[in-house]
Amino acid sequence: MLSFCGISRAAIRSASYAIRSPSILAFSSSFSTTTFRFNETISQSATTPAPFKVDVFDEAFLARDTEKPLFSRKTYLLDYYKYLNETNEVLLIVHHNNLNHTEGVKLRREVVAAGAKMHIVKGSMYRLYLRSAHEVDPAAKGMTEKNRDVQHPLLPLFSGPTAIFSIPACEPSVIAALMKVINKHKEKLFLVGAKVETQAMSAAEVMNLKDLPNKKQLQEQLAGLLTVLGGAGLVRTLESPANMLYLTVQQRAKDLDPDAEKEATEEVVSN
Amino acid sequence: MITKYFANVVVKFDAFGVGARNARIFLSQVPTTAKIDCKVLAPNSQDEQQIKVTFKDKHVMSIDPCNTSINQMKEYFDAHSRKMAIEASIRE
Repeated sequence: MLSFCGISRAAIRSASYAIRSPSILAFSSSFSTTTFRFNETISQSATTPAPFKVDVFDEAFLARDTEKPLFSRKTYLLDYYKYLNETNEVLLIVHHNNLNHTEGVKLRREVVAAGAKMHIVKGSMYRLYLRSAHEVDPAAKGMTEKNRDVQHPLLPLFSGPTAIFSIPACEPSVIAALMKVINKHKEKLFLVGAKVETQAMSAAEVMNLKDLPNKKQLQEQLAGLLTVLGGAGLVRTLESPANMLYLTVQQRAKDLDPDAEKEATEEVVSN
Repeated sequence: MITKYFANVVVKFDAFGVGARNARIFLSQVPTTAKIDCKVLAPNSQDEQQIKVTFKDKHVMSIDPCNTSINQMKEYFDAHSRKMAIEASIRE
């Protein structure tokens, strides 16, 4: 329950840029009594000064026109999946099988130690989110109907029991550590695919990705390479087509009109 | 599905393909008592997708998850499981 509340807090915060609100965060402290707490908060703010800052964002959040009720589980899940998808560069999509409670707890601990977070997702809701992922608010009214036939490359990965390992930054070392965790639980977990930045990847492609050096290291290598080459002749190489063109055109102009240059120099002298 | 008599399960499927849904739903029903060997094939791989079950009496049955529904799969494997159940009840 504790972790669930933590997630809901983050998810609601991310629901939209305009929706960030401290009073909404207060609602998430107990999910089952959300509506009750909500009423309580309203009455509180009317009579006594609110214990948190009430701002215009509350109204923006409360004015959301959603397909399902605003404080329902389904709206919450869509907001939460949007948050997951947009704040994490890498999502490893994993099939889980026969995981019991203790194994689940142990696995979560191992995943956190590797530098990621594990979420068990509801496939049908995630598919629903993916279909309207391009919308500003996927939970808004009419989005389900509008995007019913939209195809998304990740859609087939969310059938059956699915878990997601979310990695905030694209770090191949973290992916490699997670693959070790997955291989340790061979019969219970296996990788089916991944979302890396904006593209969908198969399990085999993820295997290749995890062996790459870090993005930062690669950028450093490239920067180093450019500085070395820059001194030696990269600038000259890049400039050469423009120079060649200039020289050719100049030569052609000279050929066409040999006197033009003399006139030009005379003009300069007279001025 | 009667999974009591499964000894060994081999599942090969393409996670982005048609058979993925059936294969994964089948896998979720297999208990821990059976040894599960799962292989996720790369898209456009030459290997054929299949679900192969070895029963406790060494009988082997395999099926393609692409052309069969999960209910058909259940009926297919239950046919032998039921036979084994009857044999077991006679032996008792």
